[in-house]
Formats: sequence, structure tokens, C-alpha cells
Amino acid sequence: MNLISGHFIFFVLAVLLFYYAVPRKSQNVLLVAASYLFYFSISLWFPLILIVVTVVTWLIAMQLFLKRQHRKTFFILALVFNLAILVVFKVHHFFVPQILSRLDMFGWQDQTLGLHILIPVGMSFYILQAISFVVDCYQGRLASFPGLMDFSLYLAYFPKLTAGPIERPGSFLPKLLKARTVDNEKIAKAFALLLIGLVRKIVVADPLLAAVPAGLFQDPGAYTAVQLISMTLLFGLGLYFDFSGYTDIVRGISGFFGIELSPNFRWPLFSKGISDFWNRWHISLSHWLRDNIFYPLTRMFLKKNIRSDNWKAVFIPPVVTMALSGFWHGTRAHFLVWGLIMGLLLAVERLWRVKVNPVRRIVPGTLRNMGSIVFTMGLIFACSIPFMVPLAKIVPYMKGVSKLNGLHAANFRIFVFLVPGLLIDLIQFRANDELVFMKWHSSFQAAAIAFAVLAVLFMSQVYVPGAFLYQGF
Amino acid sequence: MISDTVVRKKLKSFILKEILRNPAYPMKPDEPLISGGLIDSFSVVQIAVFVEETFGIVIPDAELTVEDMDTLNQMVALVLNEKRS
Repeated sequence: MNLISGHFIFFVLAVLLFYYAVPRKSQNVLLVAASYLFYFSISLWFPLILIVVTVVTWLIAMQLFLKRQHRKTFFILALVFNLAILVVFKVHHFFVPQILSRLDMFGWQDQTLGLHILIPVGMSFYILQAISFVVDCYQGRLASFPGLMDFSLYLAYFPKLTAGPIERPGSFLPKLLKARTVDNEKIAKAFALLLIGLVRKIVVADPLLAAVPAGLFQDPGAYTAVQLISMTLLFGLGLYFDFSGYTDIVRGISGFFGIELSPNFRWPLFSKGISDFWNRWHISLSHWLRDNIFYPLTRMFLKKNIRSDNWKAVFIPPVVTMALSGFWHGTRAHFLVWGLIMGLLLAVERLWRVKVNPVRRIVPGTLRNMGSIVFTMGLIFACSIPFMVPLAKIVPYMKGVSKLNGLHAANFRIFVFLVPGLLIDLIQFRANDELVFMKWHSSFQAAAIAFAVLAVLFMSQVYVPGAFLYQGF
Repeated sequence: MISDTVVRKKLKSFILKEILRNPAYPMKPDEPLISGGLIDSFSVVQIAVFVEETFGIVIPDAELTVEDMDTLNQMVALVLNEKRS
């Protein structure tokens, strides 16, 4: 069931109807049932794996929570169990059919594996949440142990099941237990997020991604330098608006149920540094990696030498963390290379902060900020090429780019679809508020809503809404 | 029992000398250090390790957040709270 479909709208409306008809105590049970029904609509066997992960993790975590003996053994057992499942499916995987064709367009389909196992949609996301839960139990951070039904909902909650956000147990589980108030303000906020997400996805991302030639990354020699650069840029921006649109949509839907989901993006196109970018892009994954990999590793090295010029602490944690981020995205070599490059960039940026910071002293604020943004985004874009281009095609791709030809063949008109997306980001960024539109004068709000709704309706007729790319991870 | 003043003085001194590397910087108690871009994730862990070595208090990784450690005031409060608990 695609999130952008009549079936899904009908499904959400039906669940909402029952949700507000049943007593509060039964709402979580209803949401678990609805979430599994949603998952069954994607595949008959995906939910079976989720049930196994849920029950086994819950049982082991209960031992961690209740017992004082053998805690480390149970902790390792739970980690190995979850990581083993993730690794098995990551190594031997093929994407789900509806996403397969989309990713294949960009050469992301794995052609090298003998054992063809379909990776369950959402597994990469719910496994990380299961691990967070185990870590919290081990470190004694949970005030109370959740029942199996609440824990099931934590992993399976359908708005976030297929591509996050990756919620922390400490913040999400209490939301399942407390009373939920869904008033006019919350409904307005949910509608606003939903509409912004639909604009990001249907008006911006889909046209951008549709403009990228199917074989761009598989056969880069067939394209001119300007086509390669402009289309790769389009793909990168399309990926951003696709994923941020998804996040806004599911946060909006969840808002109707009175359950607030975490934001995943804070206007990454305005980042003023590499670490700043990773605090703005796919925040829930970045924070998971930071809390569970980067912090413990850095702490371990700094305990031996707390000084800022402890090179092991500066280099090893970010490189390991981002390499694992690469693995999380996929097991092919180009994802690993991308992760290593990003880790090195973070380390070099830290080194630069320690050793020199001349720009801060000599360049005026506004100019410095603009320069930082342009430099950061150029660097992030250039270093993300290995994320998009398979390793075997990197050399032909770079050769194609270095020719610096083909200005006449480029189609720059497609970039006009970026305008609404960039405008939304700019307005939100300047106000530091994703719902700044709700503070506008009512006449401006009405005009903006009417324009957005018409644009979404029109563009959904022009382009068939595609599957969300991040559901493929 | 350590006092607010001692914690504040030692933390401020460490941040200015080791992290900002500018002892003369006029850091205010409520100045946003993380969200203001003055310190990053690496420096946050440095502060956690410094607190552990100086005051014998372990700040869990989960509490090394902008919500809990953005300003000097917040860091002092976090240390004193952890000490009490």
C-alpha cells in the first residue's frame, strides 16, 4: 500500500474512525492491529519477521530490566540477535517490487547476489529502535517496562514503520501511555505538516526525480558533463524533498492520532558545516548513530587523553560511525566509500576547528554564513557522488564530468520545480519554525493553502506519485 | 557536597582553555554554546569526560544533548542534579 494512494487515505480514515470510537485503553491495541494490517498489505511474510523481532527482543529486554544477574549476557544476546537479522537481510537482499523498479533506474539494484531474499520494508528502521530499547534497558534509563502491546506499537506503529523517524524509546513509549488530547490546534498542525509534505513530495520531488534519465548512473558515458552534473544535482535534491516530504506526511498523519513523531530534517540545505549538516539531515538516524556509536567511541579515546588534539579521538569515531551509516544504507562498496569519505570530512572539520578558524575572525557575519553554506553544500554534493554512483561507474562518471561539455544539451527548465521547495525551506529556516505559515494572517494562509492544494492536485495528475526512495533502505 | 560556584568555575575554565582555546572569551552563563555553533559533539564528550574525571560523575551518553547541555547554566545544573541523584 503506497502512502500516496487512495487505498492509504481510505485506510487512515477507517482507522481514525475506529480509533476515536473505542475506549482510550483499547486505542493502542487498535493501532497495533492497524499497523500489522498495513504491513500485511505490503507483504504476507514481512510482519512475521517483525513479530519474531518484537517478541524475542521484549523477552530478553525484560530479563535485563528485572534481573541483576547475567545482565551483560542478555544484553549481548539481544544485540547479536537484532544485528544478525539486519546483517543477514542487508547482505542478501533485494528491494520490494514497487521500489525495485524506481531504484533500478538509478543503478542501485544489486546484481551480484546469489541468494535472493527480499529485505522487509522498514526493517532497517525498526531494528535500530529495538536496539535502542535494549540499550536503554541495559543502562537503566527506562522508568517502567512496557507491556508487549505497547512495545509492539513502538516498533510497528504504521506511520513510521516503513521509513522512520527512528524514535527513542525514552521519548516515544511515554506518549503511548499518557492521555491523548487532539484539539483544533493539533489537528491544524497535522493538516499543515501533511500539506507541506505533499507539496514537497508531489510538486517538487516527483518532477525532479522523473527528469533524471533512467541510466544516468549506469551509463554515464552517454551523457555530457553538464547533463551529468545537473541531473546528479537534481537527483540529490529530489532525494531530499522526497524523504523530507515523506517525514512531514507521516508526522501529519500521526498528529491525527495524537502521537507526535520526531522531525527528521532541519533545513539541511542551509548547513554551515559538515557536522551541522548531519545535525539537520535524517536527524533521527544521525542521532541514533551519534548516541550509540560516536559518543561511546569518542568517550573511550578521550578517557585516555582528554585534549582536543587527541588524533585517535578526532579521526576514528567519525570514520567508524559514518562507515556504519554507509553499511546501514546498503552493503555495496559505494555506500561504504561514501561513509568513509563523510567520516573523514567530519574529522578534518574537527581538526580545522582545533587548529585554525581564521574566517570567523576576519569575515563579516552574513558573508561568512553565506560562504559557509555554499561551501558546505558544494562539498556535501561532491562527496555524495559515491552514494549515488555505483563504484564501477565512478571512473567513467568522473571522466564524463571532466569533459566540461554539453551546455546546449542541458535542460535547466526542470529546476523551476525546485522553487516551491526552496521557498518553503527558506521561509521555515528564517523563522526557525516549520509551522511559521500558521502564524500568517488568515488571508495569506487561505491563499497559500489554496495554492498548495491546487498544485498538489494538478501535479498528481501530471506525474504518477512514485514510491518513497528511503523505503528501499 | 560540591557547590554551584566550584562546578561553574571549573567547567568555565575547562571550556575556555581546552575547547574554545580562548581564555579571554566573554562567555555568558546562558549563552547557547551548542546551538550557537561554538562547541560540537566532540567537545560535548570532552566536557562529559572532564566532569567524570573532576567530579566523579558519569553523564550518560543519552544526556549529552543540546536540551541538557547547551549553556553553562544547564551544564552546572546537570552536574549538580547527577551528584544529588
